[in-house]
Amino acid sequence: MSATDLAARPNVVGTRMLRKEDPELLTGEARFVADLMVPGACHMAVLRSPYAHARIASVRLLSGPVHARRDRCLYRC
Amino acid sequence: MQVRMRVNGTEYVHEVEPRLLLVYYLREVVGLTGTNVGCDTSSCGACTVLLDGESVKSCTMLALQADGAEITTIEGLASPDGTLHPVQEAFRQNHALQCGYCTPGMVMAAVSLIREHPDLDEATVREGLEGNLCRCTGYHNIVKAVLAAASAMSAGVPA
Ligand code: FES
Ligand code: FES
Repeated sequence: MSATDLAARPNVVGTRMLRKEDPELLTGEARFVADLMVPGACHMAVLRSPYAHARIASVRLLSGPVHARRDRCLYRC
Repeated sequence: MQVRMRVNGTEYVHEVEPRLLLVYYLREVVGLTGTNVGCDTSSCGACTVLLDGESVKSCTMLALQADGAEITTIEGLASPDGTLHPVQEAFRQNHALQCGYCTPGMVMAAVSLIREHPDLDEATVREGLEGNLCRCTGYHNIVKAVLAAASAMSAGVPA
């Protein structure tokens, strides 16, 4: 590469660059995962055991619309 | 119950459940997802918006409590022609954001802080933004940005 080619290249090393993503993040236009509204999306919640070390005695699936959907999610998603 | 408020200059009237939080009203009913939810429990400040010009954590109040109010969210801050508000511009110039999740709340809190304190100093910024958490930046550039915005605004950059 000749000296003239080098001179023509933008000099980015050591310069302050403005980030490309900032305008969107600063105006609320950026989309985070929580902002996506996908129709029919499954939701999940994790219920952690209050016991650090224990044996699972049984798992009981409750009925009702919320749980029915949960079952569907388990099998389909 | 019916709730009516102006959000970023537009009037909205909706039937909402009494238990609906203001932040979910803004995000899910009005559809403005710029206001983020970090904790849902008044700790992080990601959900900060302006209510009649003053910063509030919108996860800390019910939509119904904002009935009749004028709300400004991060989407309503820049001018219609796209020019950033001086606080937004200062955040950009001073690299005061990384992932940007805390940013809408930080910016709204800063706007209100600057309005309340014409002579802002570093200690006041740090104390004033105590309720806003950032996991990325380490806060120094945020403080720098807020001070820069304050001096730009007192020098007459239009807000
Ligand atoms: S989401 Fe409101 S303070 Fe964290
Ligand atoms: S920029 Fe990521 S949390 Fe503040």
